[in-house]
Amino acid sequence: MPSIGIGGQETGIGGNPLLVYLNNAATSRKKPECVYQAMDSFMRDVGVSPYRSVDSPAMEAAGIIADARTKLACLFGVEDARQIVFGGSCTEGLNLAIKGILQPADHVVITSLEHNSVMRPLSALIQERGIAVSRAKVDSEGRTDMSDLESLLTGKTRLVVMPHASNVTGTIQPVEDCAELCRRKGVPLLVDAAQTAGCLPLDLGTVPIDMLAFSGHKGLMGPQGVGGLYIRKGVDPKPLKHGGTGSNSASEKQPGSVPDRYESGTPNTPGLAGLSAALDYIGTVTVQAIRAGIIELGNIMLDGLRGIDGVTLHGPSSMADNVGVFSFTMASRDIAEVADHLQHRHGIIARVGLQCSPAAHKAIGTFPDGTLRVSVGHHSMIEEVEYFLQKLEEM
Amino acid sequence: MAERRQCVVIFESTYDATCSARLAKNAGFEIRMLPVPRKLSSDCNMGMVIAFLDKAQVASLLEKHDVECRIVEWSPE
Repeated sequence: MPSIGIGGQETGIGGNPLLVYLNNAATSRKKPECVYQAMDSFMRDVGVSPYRSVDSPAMEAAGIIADARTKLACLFGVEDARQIVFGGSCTEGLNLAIKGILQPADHVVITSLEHNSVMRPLSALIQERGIAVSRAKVDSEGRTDMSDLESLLTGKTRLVVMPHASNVTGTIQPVEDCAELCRRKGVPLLVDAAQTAGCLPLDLGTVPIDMLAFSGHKGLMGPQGVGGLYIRKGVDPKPLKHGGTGSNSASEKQPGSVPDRYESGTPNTPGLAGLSAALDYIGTVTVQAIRAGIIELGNIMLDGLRGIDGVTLHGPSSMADNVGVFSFTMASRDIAEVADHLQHRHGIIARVGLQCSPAAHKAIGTFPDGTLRVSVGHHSMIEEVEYFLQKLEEM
Repeated sequence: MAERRQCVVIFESTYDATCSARLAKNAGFEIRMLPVPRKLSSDCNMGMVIAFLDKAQVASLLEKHDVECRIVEWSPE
């Protein structure tokens, strides 16, 4: 049972500040132990750049990256690991796809739920390349209206963008339907899997998605600073970065072979060592089991939030449609003050405001104040969810 | 007299070089990685030394895995 410590904050075991982490949509705070060990081991025992020499440590570093690539390809159902391109974040992957595909005067169709990692590159291209953007509507639970999306496609549409799940409402989007539509219409589909990679099954071997951006530090449970993009064979975005790759060095032009074409500069090998270890962990636990755990926690969260007077939930009513993200507002309460109280008084970490997604808040009617968002992950506990609900109800 | 000639496999990508080393080793070929000799290529690619007698089999193995490479005969100075 927590007690009140200095400064009025509840304390946990050993008098340490209590920390109930419910911001997994931003990053998964706790990682599997093997992630810490793999990164420590790389830094201490390997520590060199890959591809810049062929000595044993350099080959080991290269092997670590190859392993991470192969494991991720396996997780996504991708046949050829060369189609996995690593970078610093999901945002970088989205930028590569958007800026690499769209040409002057092209048209792009997006959903109304896009994060600024999609909106800001598009805004830049509206200015720089004169592209046109159309947004498909969403229903009251944040589900994209596929009929509306289809009606927006034109002969000039060069790309469709859809999140696998909203980072605001948690709503899982109809990516399978969208992929089939895009295949039928001959338009490439880019999926933003920031919220779903590692915690929601997706088989790219059967779902014809052309590009999929992923974050390494959220559901995949790796460290921050790793992410990237899956690129289907035959899709050829222009590189976002140009520079040294350790291959074809006599040429001043960017190499054509993948993944080198997209991976200039010394990679984040310590981060990829951590991601590789996390992928081992996920492979053992299985994405299906991780998803089942999140559904269990989510059902408690949904029931609890629904039972608190004044709380309005903005998102799916069922965990079948939710990735584990819950946004709400409170009648007659400033949500920032609620968040501040929960954090400083009870050690509960949530995220308040627009969550870098003003477009989504406009679509669900919560702009400009935004929502208070709580999000659970693989390492969240039932006791943490119940503690949060109890403290919220007491307010 | 034993065959002493060697070949160097020169790869287009670092990923292919890394994986090919593992593939060849796992298939039982004797290999070692080296910086590509300057007289073979001015690129600073990763190269893989193989026995001349293994050339056809290694080529077949790498082709099976869609590895982009060329294999050139090499006599160390």
